[in-house]
Parts: sequence; structure tokens; C-alpha cells
Amino acid sequence: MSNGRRLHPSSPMFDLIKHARGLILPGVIVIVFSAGGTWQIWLMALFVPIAIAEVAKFFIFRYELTDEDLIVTYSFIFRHERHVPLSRIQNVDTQQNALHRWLGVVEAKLQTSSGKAPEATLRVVTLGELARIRAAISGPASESGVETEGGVTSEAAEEAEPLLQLSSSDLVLLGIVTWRGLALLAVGLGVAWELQLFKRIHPIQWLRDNTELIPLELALVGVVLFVAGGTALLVGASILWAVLRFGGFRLSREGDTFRIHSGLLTTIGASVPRKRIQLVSLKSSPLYRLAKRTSIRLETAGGAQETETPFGRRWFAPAFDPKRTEEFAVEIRPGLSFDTTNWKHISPRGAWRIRKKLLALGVVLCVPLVIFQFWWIGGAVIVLLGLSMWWAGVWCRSLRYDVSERQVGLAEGVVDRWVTSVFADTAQVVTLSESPFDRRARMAKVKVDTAGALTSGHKIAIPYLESDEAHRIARRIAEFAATHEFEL
Amino acid sequence: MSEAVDDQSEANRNSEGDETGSSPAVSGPTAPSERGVLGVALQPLAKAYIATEGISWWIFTGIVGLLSVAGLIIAWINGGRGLVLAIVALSLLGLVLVLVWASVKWPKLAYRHMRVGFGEIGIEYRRGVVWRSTTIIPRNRVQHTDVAQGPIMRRYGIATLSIHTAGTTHAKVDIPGLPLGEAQRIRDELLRSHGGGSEKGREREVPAKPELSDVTEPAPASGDDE
Repeated sequence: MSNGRRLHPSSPMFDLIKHARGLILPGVIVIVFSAGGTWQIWLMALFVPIAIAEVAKFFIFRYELTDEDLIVTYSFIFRHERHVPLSRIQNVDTQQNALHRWLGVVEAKLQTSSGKAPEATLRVVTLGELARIRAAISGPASESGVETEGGVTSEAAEEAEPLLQLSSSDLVLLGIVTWRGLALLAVGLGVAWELQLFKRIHPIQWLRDNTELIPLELALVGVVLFVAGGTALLVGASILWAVLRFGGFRLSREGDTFRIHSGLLTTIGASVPRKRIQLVSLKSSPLYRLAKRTSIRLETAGGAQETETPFGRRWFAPAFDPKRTEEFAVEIRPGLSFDTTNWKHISPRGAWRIRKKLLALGVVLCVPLVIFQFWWIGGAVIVLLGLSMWWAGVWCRSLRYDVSERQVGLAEGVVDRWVTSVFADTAQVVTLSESPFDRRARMAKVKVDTAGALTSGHKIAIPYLESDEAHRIARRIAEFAATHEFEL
Repeated sequence: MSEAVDDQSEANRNSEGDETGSSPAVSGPTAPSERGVLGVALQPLAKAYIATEGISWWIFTGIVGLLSVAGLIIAWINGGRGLVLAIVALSLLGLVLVLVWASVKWPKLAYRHMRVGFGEIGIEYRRGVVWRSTTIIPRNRVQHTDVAQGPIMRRYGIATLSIHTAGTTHAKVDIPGLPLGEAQRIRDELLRSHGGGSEKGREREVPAKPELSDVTEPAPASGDDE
């Protein structure tokens, strides 16, 4: 590579800000709020060599676009040169906060289908440069470079009608369900700990010492108001976070790629090629159902970790009217359906097996309680067991599955309701598992593995199937997978 | 008793369809076969697997035993006495005895419940003593394969075939206890049909020793495939 380009001159500043958040901020908090020095202050010293390295990196980092590749080079002692074929780059995710917008730059992450980390991170480039990179990836026929008011270059002129835009009530709902205000609580507790407030102030002891001065009723009202006020503050903070994070949310489809733009202060641009979608989940919690909303999550193969870019995965369609469910299903994949009306139920013996386990547990717990005459605890245990047995039946009735040539679906859940589908060409490995109790009951569980599965996501794992049915299903899924090629 | 019933029901299970699988992955003079989920004939692994697994268990047991004795000696030297030391010593003795039992019994138990079959649709691998699982990998989901041999396996002429997929939980499926030639043949077949192959973990070709393997046919000569 003869002459590559450097990143924007403001790049070292953005790298330094990123490291400062992890190193400087904790130290500053400790200095401000703490009486003595602690190790967090010494951690700040690490920032100096890191700052030098980041400035040096700016001078040694180069990138170049050829007809076929994006070439990234950086050399200090060892020379690193990475060639990323343009045809392999599947999406360009962007991030822009207020400082980016003021300077007219953007952070871009270029991803192929392989690996978990972006193949190239350009922090930062100008908007015009981003447009040039996007044009090179898309091909000369689809030059794009429209600069929007928001500052992030997008193919706005070619975008279709958006599939989803969030309303104010959706933002409030997202704020409440995500409970990000708890982070504020955690910060407050941390500050209180550093200031040793818990050693200086004992609310309960204070109340005891001053009950003569303050009537008990007033004290109770004060406690209630304090708790209510604190809860309102947390909810308000959560909603504020949701407004900043999801404000301006827009989901659209251009050809075979979904594009997501979201955020008021920091604007995120993510894209999800259709062919990378491995698993689709429809989820609704009680709050969602109360607000007459549902959400869709995806699992995609390749690309950055979900924690880096949750948009397009956990937050694909964060909240929408359930009446539009089939519309979204067809957009994601023609032929996909979340209609579970004709899906099969698991074996009715499943509930009975769960109840037997609960009964055994109840006996084990109650015997010592009876022996030692803890009657009221024993009674509570019996009531809880009764409720659990009832719940087992309800939960088993919620479990339905469907295996067709196109998809494998599983519906599950009473409180949080999930409907998950995996496609015939994205199913990877099929597992049929039997515990000793399964074998005794002539039952089995069938699981389907996919690429890019999230640990926290809902999976296709169908329990309490009659053994023959489990064998039949496992074989069918394997046969369907064998007749559909897997491509990324 | 229930285990014998389970084994019998497994042996009697006939899957739907008439899939005719490729030649069995492993062969033995009296190896019983049964039909798996895919309808392919499932064969047991090479009997040498019992020896290799047993040796690994014995090595582990020996290490635990030595560490236990060393720990007790150190405790004794440092003045440890009485009931506490006695309880610890008895516990460690119990642990070592359990490991000795496992070294003798577990490899045979595990071997009895391991089966593998290679068919047109895919590979079926069954394992597990208490918790049992059958893993099915469609052929067109094989990304690439590895054949690896540790020093103990090399001594007995068997190898582990690792099948890599794009899955997450089953990104790699290891099938141990295959005769080396058989593992290489399957790897090459998967390479021709859908996957890639590589060999690692060994320095040179080691043909299976006839007196230690159960292969009734001579192991085919094969070269490096890198």
C-alpha cells in the first residue's frame, strides 16, 4: 500500500475520550468524594502512556480503498496489514454524538459475516469520506452521499417508507421496561459508600432517637414519600435514557438490508442484511401487553458483539402494534409467520412430570418442618407448592411448536411470552437430549443450534416430547436443513 | 435393569425412512449396529477408546492422590492433628477411591453408550451415560474438520474427529475413539462433499497397530492433506 489515508485529525481526541471514561472518571470521582487516596487515583496514571499511544496510532494508522479491498495498515514495531474484500463487507454501522456532529465526523465500523468483532473501525472520518466508503462497498452504480440534518450520511433519498417509528408513548414504555434508572441508583449508592455516609447516618437509628420529636404517623408518611419520590426519580431517569437512546428511532428496509437509525444525542446507524438473520423472536411482557405493544428481537450471524451494537438484534423492532406482527414477519422473511393457532402442544404428561418433582420437593421440605414444628412455614410451603403445581399446568399449556419445511417454531411463556422461529437454512446442529427422568418417562427434548446465538436470547428447545415424536421432529429438522444450504 | 431395558429399546428403535448410509464409520468383528434418528446404522467406536480413556482417568486419579498425600503430609508437619485432620484425610481417601472406581468403570460405561453413524443426510453421534444426547450434524453444515491425536491415542492408533459448524453451542463437535485411518477417510469424504479439513496435534502418520485396534480391514494409506 503506497499512500493510504489518515483518519480525521480529531481521531486521537475521540480515542482519548473513550479511555478517559474508563480511567480518569473513576479517579476524579474518588478525588472529589473521598477523603483519602485509593488505587483508583493511581489508575489515572495509566492514562498517560495510553494517551501517547493513541496520538502515535493516529500517525501510523492508514487505510485505503482499492477497486476490490479496503486495506488497513498500522505499523509500529510489527507491521499489520489487513485486506478486507469490499464484496465481503456486509454492513457499515455508525455512531455520532454531539461532538461528532459539531466536528462533522462519524465513527464507522465495517463488518463482514465472519468473526465477532468489526473487521475495521474507523474512528473518526468525515461524512463525505463515509459516503465514499459506502459507495465503494455498494458499487459504482449506487453512489450515495446525502448528508442529512442529523449529520449522519445515509441513503435517505433511496430509503423506502419506514417500517417503524417510535411514538412518545413507546419511548415511555421502553424507559420503564429497561429500568436504566437503576444505573443512577447504583451511582448514588457508590457515591454514598465513598463518602462513608452509611457510617455517619443510620436512618432507622435516627428515627428511633427522635420518635419523641416526630410522631410515628408523620415518620411513616415521610418514609412513603421518600420511597415514592425515589421511585419517581428512577422512572424519570429511565424514561429520559430511553428518549435519548431511542428518540428518532427509524427502521426501514432497502432491498435486502434493514437500516436502523436511533438516538438524540448519540445517533446510532446500524444495518442488518436479511441473509444474516438466523433466528427471530417475538416477545411481549405484561407491561407491553398492557400498552398493547409487542417487540421483535433477532439473532444474526457474524458482526460485532451484541453488547456493542444491540440495535438490529435486541432492539430490532422495540415496540409496535401487535396487529402488524405478520406484516413484520413477511418483511423479515417471506413465508415467516408468528401465527401459532395450528401449532402442536407438548405431551400432556409434561405437566404431570413437573408436578411429581414439585411433590417430591415438597415432601423433602415439609418433613423437617413438621418434625421441628415450624407449622406456619410448612403451611406456606404447601401453599407455594400448590400454586407451583397450578403454574406448571399453565406453563405447559403455553408451550407449542411447529416443524415445517420452512421454519421451526416454539411458543412459550405465560408472563413473558415468546414466539421464536428458526429457518430451515439457518438451523445448524440438532440435538436430542434425555435426562434419566426423560428416559424413564419415554420422553426427550429437541434443541436447534444456530449461528450467532445470544446467551440471553430465547432458544428453540422443545421439552417434554414423547420419545417417538422427538425422534421424528429431530429427523425432520435435520432433513430440512440438509436440503437448504447455509450461506452468509 | 432399567438401563438394560433402555439399551434394548434403543437397539430395537427403527427410524422412519429408508436412508442407506455410507459405509460404517468404525467396524468391529462383532460390533452390534442399531438404527439412529436418521435411520443410519450406528456403530460403536474403537474398543481402544476404553484403554485411552482409562489411562487418562488413571493419570488424573494419580495426580489427585499425590496432591492429597502431599497436602496431608504438609498439614501433619505443620502440627495438624486431631479430628479435623482425620475428617479431611477420610474425605480425600473417599475421593481417591471414587476416582479409582471411575478409572476402572467409567470408560467402559461411557463406551457402551457411544455410537456414531455417517449417512447421506448427516452425521449422528450419540453419547452420555446418565444424561444422554444425540447430536445430528447435517452434512451441508460442516464448515471444516480436524483430525487430532494426543500421545495416548497415538499409541493405540485412534484419533478424535472434530467437526466444526457455524453453530454456537455446537460450534465444534468432537468424536473421539475413531481409528486414525477411518477418521481421515471421513474427514476427506466430508471435505469432498461440503467441509474443509486439516490435521493437527500430530507430527507424523502413525498407522493403527493391528493388535490394538478393532479395524478388520487394513488402514488405508493416506498422505497429508494440507
